[in-house]
Amino acid sequence: MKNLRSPMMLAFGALLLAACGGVESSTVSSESSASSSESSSSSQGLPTQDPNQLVVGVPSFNQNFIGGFGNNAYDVMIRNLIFSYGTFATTKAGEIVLNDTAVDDLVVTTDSVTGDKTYEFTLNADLKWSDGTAITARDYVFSILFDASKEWAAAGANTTAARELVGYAAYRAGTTSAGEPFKGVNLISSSKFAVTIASTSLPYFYETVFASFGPSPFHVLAGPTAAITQTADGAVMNAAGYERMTEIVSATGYRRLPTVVSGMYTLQSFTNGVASLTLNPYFIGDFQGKKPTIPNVVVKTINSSLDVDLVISGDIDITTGVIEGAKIQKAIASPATDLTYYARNGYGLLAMTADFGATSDYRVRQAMAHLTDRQYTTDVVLEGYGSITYSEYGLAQWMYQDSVDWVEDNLNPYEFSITEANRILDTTEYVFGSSNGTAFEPFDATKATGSYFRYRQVEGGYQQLRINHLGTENNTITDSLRERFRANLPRAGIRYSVTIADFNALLDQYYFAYELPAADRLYHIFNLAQNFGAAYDPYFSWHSNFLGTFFNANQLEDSPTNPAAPLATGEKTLDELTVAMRSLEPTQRTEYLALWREYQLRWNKLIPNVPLYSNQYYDVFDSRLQGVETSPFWTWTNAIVDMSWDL
Amino acid sequence: MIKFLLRRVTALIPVAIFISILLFTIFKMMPGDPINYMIPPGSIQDPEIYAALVAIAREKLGLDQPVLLQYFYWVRNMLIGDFGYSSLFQLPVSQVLAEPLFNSIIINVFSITIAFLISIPVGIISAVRKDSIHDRGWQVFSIVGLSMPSFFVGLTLIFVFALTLGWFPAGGMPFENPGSTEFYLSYFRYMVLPIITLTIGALAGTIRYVRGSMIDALSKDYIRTARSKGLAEKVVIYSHAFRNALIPVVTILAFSIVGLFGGSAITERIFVWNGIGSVLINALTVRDYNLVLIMNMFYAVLALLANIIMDIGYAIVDPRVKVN
Repeated sequence: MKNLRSPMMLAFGALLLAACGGVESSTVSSESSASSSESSSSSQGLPTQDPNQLVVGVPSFNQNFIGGFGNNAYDVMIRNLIFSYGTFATTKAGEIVLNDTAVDDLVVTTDSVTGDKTYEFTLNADLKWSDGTAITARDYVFSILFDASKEWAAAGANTTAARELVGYAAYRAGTTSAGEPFKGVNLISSSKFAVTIASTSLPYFYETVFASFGPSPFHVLAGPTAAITQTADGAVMNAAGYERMTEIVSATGYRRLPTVVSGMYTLQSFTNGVASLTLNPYFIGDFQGKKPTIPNVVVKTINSSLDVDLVISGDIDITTGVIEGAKIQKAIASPATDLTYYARNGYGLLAMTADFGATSDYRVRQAMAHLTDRQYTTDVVLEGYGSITYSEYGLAQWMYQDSVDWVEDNLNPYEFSITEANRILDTTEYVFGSSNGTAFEPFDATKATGSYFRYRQVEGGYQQLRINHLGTENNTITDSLRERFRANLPRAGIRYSVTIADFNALLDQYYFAYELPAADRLYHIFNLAQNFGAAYDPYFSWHSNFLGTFFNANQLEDSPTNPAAPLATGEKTLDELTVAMRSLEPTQRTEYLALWREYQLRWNKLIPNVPLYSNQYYDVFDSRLQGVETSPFWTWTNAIVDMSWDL
Repeated sequence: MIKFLLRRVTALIPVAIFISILLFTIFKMMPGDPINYMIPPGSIQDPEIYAALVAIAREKLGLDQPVLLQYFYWVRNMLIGDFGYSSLFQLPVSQVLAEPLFNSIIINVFSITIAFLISIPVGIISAVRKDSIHDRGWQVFSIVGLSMPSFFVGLTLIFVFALTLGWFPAGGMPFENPGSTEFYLSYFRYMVLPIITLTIGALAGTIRYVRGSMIDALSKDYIRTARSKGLAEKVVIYSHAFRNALIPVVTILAFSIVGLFGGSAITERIFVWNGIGSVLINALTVRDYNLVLIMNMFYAVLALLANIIMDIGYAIVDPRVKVN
């Protein structure tokens, strides 16, 4: 619940095949949009448009309109429209800033003894819920206590809200959070509250996300006799504060139809996959102080294969995240539509196991990178609407934006080259060749045309160099990789096989195969995609603390005691770099950038994933709609404050 | 009749048990874990909290028990109306199905009714005027209708009537104020293309059934006798031939009634109609076993019941068949 941008939501990217994008956006006008926009009307052949309404098409909803119940991207759109006044907000460029509309004053102090850091927020006095009730500090404190409670987890919510605050463990220690004080959460007055981040979580470069909280309507969600009191050990809520949870998460509860909200719009109804929203008269602005002017918004489920057609026909006014070349061309050609595009803040990748099979050797992974024809994928599959990336970054990240030339000059692009792949593989153990598995000789690349493979000597015999690929069905990226790997891997002496499964099966194998005995493991490479959040923290994905968990899904160990590849003079391991990156003060931007570059160099050498591509995402909209300027961090739900109809 | 029904229903029990075991086993053998959908790997950046949340989710889904116990609990709970917890919607299954079930029944009632209203007279006339232009025309329609997959018909209708002519919405559900007159009018507009798609599919098969049955009936000796008695042709066709021709049609009708509740996954997906078929596909995609299992079990029981309905139908239309 709460306005439920929990810190973690802001903080981290997740491995998902989901829409995302980059900082810089550009607008593409359709061929005749300039002339049509001057006199756009139904008489010009454009569909009739209601100036008081915006209709948005999305593929699906789960109708979880408060946090803790999954992050369906389209549910999140509704959340963005109906909840606001978080203490921090994300700008169009992906920067996390104080929300000046909600917060009148912020005082940050550090305890000289414990090192704990306290953020004391003074709220603006004129914040109101959509029913006219004043939003007070109690609503913020309620939101934290509610979200972090044992009761909320037991009700089915998945949340790590407030775990970096002092006293989190104690608050959740007993069988109930009711009556338990939360030391790091303090209700000071009706307009002031404070949160204290534990020194164990500090320093942290994205520290503000730990203090990012929004309000929840205490008068709606807590029981009638609920009370929050301030004690010496922090804020405490009585049992009545938690008593409505079952009702809240039910089919007709606040989770699925939030009635009293804080955001730009109020949710009037949600029926059959259609959300109808109207302006919240009490909303005073986003973090910039801007308010939307379009009175009604309808977000409806559509057949996403027809999304651009529906904008052209006037069924919907905007669709987002279009990546298919044919659709983009159609939108560009239509006078009814305009487009804006931005680079994805993430990348498609070929993940490789680092604890199983031949890909455990970083040199085999490097060879695989050379054998992956990424230009073919971007040209043929993405139809040119994408770029090749060299390491683990998204084109929209500020670190990349500040390092474009550095990336070109310093990172290995692993250009497609069978010769180079063979040269690298000759430095590994796989230096024997055989056509039939009996007569072994030094590997001869000229013989590698189909059934002549590389082998390495193991106790009692020889072991073939095999790569088993797990890809997803109905996936053009899988198809293109399969086609090229079948042709190219045997030329480097690699025996290649591919299995096509559904996405769930792939996730199971990618994340949890480490739990299986080695004899039951099958796959070495997986193609999927990763998006990054506004806060980029690769610690969880690559630090050896997370070996033996799905967090470090590749099971890559690069620690000082066991580096994954020899270290050059002054070179640091991923363990050292990921810790160093997160252990900076938020103000140490230059230092962070320097570490990020070191990290990218090391990652690029170890190449646990082959970076495949980074898409361009297109938002397609009615050409009479003005102000649609989006980015990966700034969706239409943010940009709506600048949108208007020019009819 | 009551004895007959009791006997048939009793006979269904072992079949239903067998189907339930079969379904449960198949779903348990499928790869993929519904927990991955409820708590996506990577969404929780704390191993301890993740483990605790997974434990709660497993308990909610009943996955914390041995498989055999899971089966018995599933059957027991199903019998008392507790259909489990949906990992997709994160709600009790019983709360998930009402709205889509209603939507599916509505479009299926319309399409089946229209299909029968058209196919019965068309089938009769085609049989009576066998090999005429009328007959051949409908035969071509039937073959084309049977050959075209519903997604092709649906997309063609969308292209012509929604995107090109703009007469109907291309899909989705109405967004007018629910409960208002505008909402219901809009609801009807949104229904038209899915209903036409379903009707074309149903019509093609039903016409051929009715025509075939009628041709068969018209070739019988009792028809010749009726005609030789000097009965009017209408009486011969409608009173003598049609009633006999109805017997195979009852089979289709019985299964169509089951289909009312089954939804039409492909058509619903194409038109983004919030129906039960669409829910089933979504649930299957994310391994929402509780939802999929209960829906499949429901269909299985309906199919069994359809057989009883069919037997009763035979008895009504054919006096030679006695239920006892």
